[in-house]
Amino acid sequence: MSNLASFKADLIELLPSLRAFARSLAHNPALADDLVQDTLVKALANVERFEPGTNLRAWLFTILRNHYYSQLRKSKREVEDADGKFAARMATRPEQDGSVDLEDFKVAFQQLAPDHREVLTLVGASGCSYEEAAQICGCAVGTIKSRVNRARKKLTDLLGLDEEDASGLPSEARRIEDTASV
Amino acid sequence: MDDGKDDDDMDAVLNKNSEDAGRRKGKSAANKSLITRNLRLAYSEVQNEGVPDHLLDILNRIPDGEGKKS
Repeated sequence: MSNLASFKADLIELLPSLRAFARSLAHNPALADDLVQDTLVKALANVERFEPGTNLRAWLFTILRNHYYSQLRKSKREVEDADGKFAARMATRPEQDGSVDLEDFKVAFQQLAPDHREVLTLVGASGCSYEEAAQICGCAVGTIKSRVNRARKKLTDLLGLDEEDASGLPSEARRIEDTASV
Repeated sequence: MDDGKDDDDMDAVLNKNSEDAGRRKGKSAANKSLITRNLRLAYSEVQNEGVPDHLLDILNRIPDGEGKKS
């Protein structure tokens, strides 16, 4: 098999992951697939820059996320919850029985900042190592680790999973206590 | 003499703190696990959708027979 044919086969194999990563960033399926399409076009235009034997997934994910942030800066079209769907859904808090409806999870996930969504997806879902995620995001491994922690904490709050702390007080009462001590 | 009572009170506080720490740790681990599980579910849901033809068409424009110089 030629190198180009092998490259093509690898791209086809990675397409589902590329789409899933794009969806985590863009949320809207059509926009996410536009991102993937642009990524493929850029990858093919720059195929000579890819070194065979190196990490194709990281290369593609990097192109995709850079393109996403570039588009985001240009258009500023990502206005969260423009139609109020989040507020409507989250008016009913998730069950506190240790499970969360997947749709509720997705709604909460989309409330995260893009850099939080991307690290959670890379490390938590796509199987990237911290090192690979750092390479894709162009930052230090330590930055990825702390970003993952902050993202997880934020998501925990959004999902209402941290309703009770060690004091046994529900979060509302805890907030009152916290405020009182300021 | 209240020394014995004070010790008991102190033990009770320490035990409670230890239980609280354990409960916090357990809850944190459960939340972490729940988030990871849902992240993977959402991710695999898209992965299993099947790739739209227009994306495959872009790749099918790549000729199979021509070698890329390495």
